[in-house]
Amino acid sequence: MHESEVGSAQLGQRLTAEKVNSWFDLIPYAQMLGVEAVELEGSLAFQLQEKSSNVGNPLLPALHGGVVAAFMETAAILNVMAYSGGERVPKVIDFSIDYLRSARLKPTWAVCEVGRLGKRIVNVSVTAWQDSAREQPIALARAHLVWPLNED
Amino acid sequence: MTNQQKLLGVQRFMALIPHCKALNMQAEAVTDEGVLLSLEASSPFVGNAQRQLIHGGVLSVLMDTACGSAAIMQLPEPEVCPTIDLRLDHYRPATQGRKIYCRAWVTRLARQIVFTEGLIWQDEAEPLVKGTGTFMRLGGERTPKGFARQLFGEQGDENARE
Repeated sequence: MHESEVGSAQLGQRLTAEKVNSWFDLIPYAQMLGVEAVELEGSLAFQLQEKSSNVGNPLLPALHGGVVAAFMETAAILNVMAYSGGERVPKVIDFSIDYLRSARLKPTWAVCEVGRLGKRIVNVSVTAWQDSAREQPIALARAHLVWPLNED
Repeated sequence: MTNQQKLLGVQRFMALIPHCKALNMQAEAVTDEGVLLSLEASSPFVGNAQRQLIHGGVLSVLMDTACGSAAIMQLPEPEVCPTIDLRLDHYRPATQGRKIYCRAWVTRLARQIVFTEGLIWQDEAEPLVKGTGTFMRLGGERTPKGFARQLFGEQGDENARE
């Protein structure tokens, strides 16, 4: 996340990838997919392990588009939790994904960027890539979530 | 081809997809209006253990598969149709322990693109998710030979020849 773009004071302290990885009991499906939080160049990033059960097209083989969506949605959720303290899993209001390239059966990475943190709603953009080709993303996604500290 | 043959085709299509098998996704019906898929909302699919809510990503997988199946079944002959984009509006959360249904239908079949929509519910009176999926038609030449046969058996071959 690029704190400077939203104001680090507003977002507060980010928790570490190690701390984020302690929350997976809250999100069993993310464990099933094989999602993990990692530190990448000083930023919080996410990795989707290479798992044959995530395949959607066995001919290529390629990951199921829905799995890529689920991974990127999980990244957005955990990214929001890393900044809100992680007590509650935020609600997702809507989620939209553009598939730019087929996602092969290999490790996949994602980073998030907060477009806006309002009083109640957070807008998060997610970029996913494979190999080292961060500048050639396999998918771009965007979600609105309810900021968990102000939820009902 | 009858809707019953198409239903068998969707069932075979999903049986070829490892992650659909991992979720134990089922094809319930194919009608002239579209396809109906389902999955049991069991505990591995939870995304919020505190409230026992199903992960939105499970619903993305269901929506993508349903919209993609609806797209393929609407074509004159099966073509591989990768997803261009997918959007889900989460009206309400899905809860663990109750069967989830997704109906998807084609809103426009164009020369290169198939536009689809879908709806997810557990209680038919209360829609949980409204979805929109757009798919690219790869065309006969770029679809692997035998794709129709894999879905429809001998009938698929006949259809592909027509």
